[in-house]
Parts: sequence; C-alpha cells; structure tokens
Amino acid sequence: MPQASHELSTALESTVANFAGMVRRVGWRYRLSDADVDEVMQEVRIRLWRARASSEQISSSSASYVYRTAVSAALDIARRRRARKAELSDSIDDDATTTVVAAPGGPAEELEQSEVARQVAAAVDEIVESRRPVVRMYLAGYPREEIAELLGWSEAKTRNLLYRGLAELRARLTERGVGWQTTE
Amino acid sequence: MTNNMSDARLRQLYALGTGARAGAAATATHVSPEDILALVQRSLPEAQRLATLDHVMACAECRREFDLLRAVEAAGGERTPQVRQLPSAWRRLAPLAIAASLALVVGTEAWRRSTADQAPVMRGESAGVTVTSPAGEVAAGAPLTFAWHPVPGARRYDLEVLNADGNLVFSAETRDTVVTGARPETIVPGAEYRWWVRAVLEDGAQPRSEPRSFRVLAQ
Repeated sequence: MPQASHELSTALESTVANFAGMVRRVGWRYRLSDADVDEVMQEVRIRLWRARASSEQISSSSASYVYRTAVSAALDIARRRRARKAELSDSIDDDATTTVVAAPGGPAEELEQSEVARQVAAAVDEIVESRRPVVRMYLAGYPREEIAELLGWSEAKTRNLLYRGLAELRARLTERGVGWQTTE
Repeated sequence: MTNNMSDARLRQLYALGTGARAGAAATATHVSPEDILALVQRSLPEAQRLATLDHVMACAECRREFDLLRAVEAAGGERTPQVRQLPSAWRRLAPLAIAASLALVVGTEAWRRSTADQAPVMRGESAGVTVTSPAGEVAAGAPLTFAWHPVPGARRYDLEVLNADGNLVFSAETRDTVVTGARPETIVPGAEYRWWVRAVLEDGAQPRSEPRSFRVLAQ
C-alpha cells in the first residue's frame, strides 16, 4: 500500500473507530446484531473516503459529521433492505420467514404455548391506543426510561400509562381465560 | 380472581406471538425508514409518534430498522444513560453472592416462573448492574449459572437471554443475584448468546447491565 494511501487508511480507521465503538455499545443494548453495525460502519467508511479527499480532512472529521454520515448510511441501508424485500416477495410469494422462540417441552406444550402467545399478541392489539405502544415497547424489552425518552414523556406519565396498559392486558387475558388463577 | 402472569412471562409470550406473525407482516404496509428516523429523532407530532411506534413495535422488520437507527442516533447524541459500576461494593459482598449461588439450585421450570417470593432481595451498594458469568465458552452438558453483582434498592432483577438475531430465548425474574439450573432447551449447543440483567429499583429506576456474550460448545 502506498504511503499516502496507508496514512489515509489509518486516519480513516481512527476517525471511524471511536464512533463505531459507540454504535456497537449502544447497539448491543438495543439488541442490534454485529452484522448490522458492521454494515453501517462499512458504509460510513466508504462515504468518508469519497467525501474527504485527504487524510488530514478525514482525521479532522468532527464527531457530528461522522454521526450525520452514519444516520444517512443507516437510512440508505434500511431503504435497500426494503427494496430487496419487495423484490423477494414479488418473486416468491410464500417464502415469508417466521421467527419463533422455541417452546421447551414436547409438541403438545409447544402447541399450547403458541396458542397462549397468539392470545397475548391479540390481547395487546386490543389495548387502548394511548397505552398500547408503551406496553408493546416494554414487552419487547425496552426499559422504562428509554420509553419515556423516546416519547418525550415524564417518568411518572410513562409509568402510569404502562401500569394501566399492563393491567388492561392482564384483564383482557383473564377474559380470554389465559394466565389467571383463583385467589384463596 | 387475579391474573398473576409475570412481566417476564408476558414478554416471552409476546416475543413468541409477534414472531409467529412475522410471515403475515411481510406483506403488510410498513412504516417508511424516514418516518422511523423521525420517530427516533422525536420530530413527529405525538399522535403520529404513537401510531408509528405502535406499528414498529409489532413488526419485526420495522423494529430491526428502528433499533439500527436508534443505536446510531443515540451514539451520535450520547444520550444513552450509562450504567454505573462500583466494583469495590461487589468485593465486599462477594461472599454473600457466592453463598447464594451455592444454596440455590432450581430447574428450568422454576426459572421460567416468576420468583416473586418472600425471599430478601440481594442488594449491593452501587446503582449499576455488573454481570459476572457466564462469559466465553460454556460446556454443552454443564448446568448454566447466570450471576451478577447486587444493586442497592433492588426490588427484583430481570434476566434476558437473546440469540444472535436478537430474539429473546429465555427470561427470568428473581430476587436473587443468581439463576442456575439445567440449560433451557431454547439455549442450544453451538450457538452464541447475549444476556443482560435489569435491576428494578424501589424508586422505579431500572438500571441495566452491559450485555455479556457466551457460546454453548457443540456437543
């Protein structure tokens, strides 16, 4: 590798590495796969190469510039995935993938668990609109403070809507005969 | 009559229920990537924000893009709350946690159920959660023990184990700092997993640990 190119590469890696580390740390918390993070950061590298002509310019790229590049790259990756998905669904109508958490136990237990899971998903659909997204986010594993931050709500408002939403969900499940027991 | 299905159990079933819908959702109308970005950047009006979030959280495909954009956004804005760690507190309480790990041996079924019993909550002196084991490689036939450091003010702990795709494969609620027993059937040999612990504190705060990965060796 020529010296100038090597310097350019080193500067680029140094600039991107810090941001990539941050995205990876945050990404793990958001259950993001390493492959997704790698895809974004590779796209960021390519864009910085193209946009910044010299190693000096690359090494002086501000964090906010790298951030804006990463947002734009992630958005483009999402768009490309949509386009690929649309092509696939056009050509293969019945090839939809299904992600299922395996149920422990035999086929009977698995069937029963699948039915209960279906009832839970259906009961969530019926929750009052103002509470439903909070409940969905909570059940998907996001902590309450992140829900509050995303929605721009106070901790108290988020907690209140979540508790009401979960109570409503449990009541609807009870109506469906799911997950209840008689108190002594 | 009261419905006492635990939050952890609801989460497990919800993941299963929404996963089973993934096929149907593949043909449904999705939220545009631009709207998902607007959601994570909090630039949508509240009504639209709620409607967008409602779809995204029910749709595996949109959620993957939401997580990607949110990670980039949070990394750029440095808005992610950092979990504080205080190793010295753990050193003082290590004998207590080790004693607990030796005393508690429960099966897979006991893991799955909520352990909201009358046992005292294991509490430390820091506000963060630091997980200790498992990490690295785990023998296929060996019992699996999840352990972490106690957190002050903890009402309970939620443990989550995710597969390489980020799907929830196991969760548990406990008042202890150790969950151990036979390996759940959803955690299979030859695969890599990440796990973390969220402490639910008396004041409502829910600090989380950094994720820790482990691989179950092939048999």
